[in-house]
Amino acid sequence: MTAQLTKKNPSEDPVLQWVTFHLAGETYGVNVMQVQEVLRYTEIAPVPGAPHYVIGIINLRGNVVTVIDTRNRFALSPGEITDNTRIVIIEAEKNVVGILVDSVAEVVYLRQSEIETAPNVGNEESAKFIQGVCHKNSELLILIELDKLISDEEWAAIGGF
Amino acid sequence: MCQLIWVAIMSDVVDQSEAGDDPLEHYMMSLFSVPSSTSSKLDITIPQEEKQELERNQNTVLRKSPRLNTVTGEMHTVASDQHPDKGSLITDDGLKASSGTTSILPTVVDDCKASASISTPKKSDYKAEQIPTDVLLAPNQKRELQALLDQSLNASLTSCADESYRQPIASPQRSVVATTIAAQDKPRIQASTLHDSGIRLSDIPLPSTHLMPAIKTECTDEMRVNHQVLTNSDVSALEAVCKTISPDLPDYRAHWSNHCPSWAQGTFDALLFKCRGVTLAIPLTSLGHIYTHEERLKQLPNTPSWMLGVKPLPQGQLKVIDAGAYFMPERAPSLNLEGELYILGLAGCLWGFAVDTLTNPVTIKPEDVQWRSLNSHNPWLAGAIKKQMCVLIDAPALLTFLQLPSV
Repeated sequence: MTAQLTKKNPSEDPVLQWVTFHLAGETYGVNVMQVQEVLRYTEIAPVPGAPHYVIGIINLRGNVVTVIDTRNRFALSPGEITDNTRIVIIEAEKNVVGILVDSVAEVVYLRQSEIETAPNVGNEESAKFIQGVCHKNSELLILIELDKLISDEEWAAIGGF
Repeated sequence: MCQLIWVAIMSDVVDQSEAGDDPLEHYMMSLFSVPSSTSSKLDITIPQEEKQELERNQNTVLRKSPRLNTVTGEMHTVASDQHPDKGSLITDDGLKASSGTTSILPTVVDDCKASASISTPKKSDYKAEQIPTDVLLAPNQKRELQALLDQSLNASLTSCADESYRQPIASPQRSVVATTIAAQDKPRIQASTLHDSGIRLSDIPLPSTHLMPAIKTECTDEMRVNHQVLTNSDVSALEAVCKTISPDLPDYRAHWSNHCPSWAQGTFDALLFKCRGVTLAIPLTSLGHIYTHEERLKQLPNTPSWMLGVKPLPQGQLKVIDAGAYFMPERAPSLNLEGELYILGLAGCLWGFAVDTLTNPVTIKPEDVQWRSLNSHNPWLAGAIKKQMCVLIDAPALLTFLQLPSV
């Protein structure tokens, strides 16, 4: 019944596309509209004096892009660089930044009604990035709100280039 | 004392003595027309000389006292413990009491030094149940008595308005500070102390929050002590702290124009070097000499961990910095002090950087560098060289940073 209603009124329950990636065994999703491209792992030049969650910078077709250690940002244990390691170039708060992930999975389609509010558990540092959760194909998908991934002050710290 | 004065007045009334020209006395006599037989019941034994002296004092007090509490003239109660003199009062039955509790006469407050204001009796001061019934006044009598008392009071106030009440009120801050010190048991700091030492509080560039506890009435004992024991050395220490809190930060981008440093307005050469596994670059124009580390540097006591020591040079002592520890303290040290080491001496100063390895210089165009923006937290970071993907150091800004007093 709900599905029929949403079909009749798609504007009330829009369908969103999410790019999913794996990180420490969990599946995360980011809005596809904020993903610019996905890169294979390349050498990341460290930046002196950068915050602890910044791995370094890369050259993306002549532009210097800061790469963030997503595991560090999500308070996860450090991981190893593998062949599946990717750098997802995203745009958040009008800034372009790369996030290092274990692997990129797919693009999923989710209705707004399918997204549940994330339980208010865990430490505040990682919980504030979570936009919601969704059960898809018998697995939990954690949706990330990229605009909250980095605060304005942190953008000032890492966006020096 | 005050009660004694009024006892003297009443004794005059009772004695039916020769009335003066004061209309108040006339009226009081008419109001309290106590017969002579009643007078004999009063146990008042005041010598004539003392009586005369009290009469003189009465006039003096009425003339000088600004806090004559006779605004209404109505009968009110004065607790015996509230009056310092606990003098003789006339009670409701007209008898003299050495520590009386009820007065039908205006109370003269002796202490007129503390305040320039006239105290107004509160309603709570009037206890109707203690008003003697035999001396209740008719409303018209009250009004007349009130008018006379007001007239007398105004005359007294006019005459006693001396210079002390015409002085301007002290500034609020002084007043508060004086109150604070007076409230303390051990005033250990005086304004004269700072004055004698030649230090004025207004000259100390402290944030207001540092001085606020001293003038707050609700400051803690710790705050109080900290401000009480201020000495010259303490003031110097406070000044140092203030410089640390709000130093006059130099403009690290003073030499910048067109979004890049002055030394990068055109094509320039930069020397790439490595420390702690990270490649950095510095423009050749900012380099003075490159020294090889042949002998052990002389370490100085009480220096930061990134300060390796000094290297004696003919022109002076070259202060050598561990570049890896200074730029990247978060990375593991890789500088082998026992092995080969290069020291990059900055031009025009006696500062140098110890680095691991050197590479050939590269020629760079301004557009090859992603120049840092204004909000970068590292003032010595000029930008990133896109091709080599390494950070370019702004030597003039770094030198400015190194020459800060805190460094």
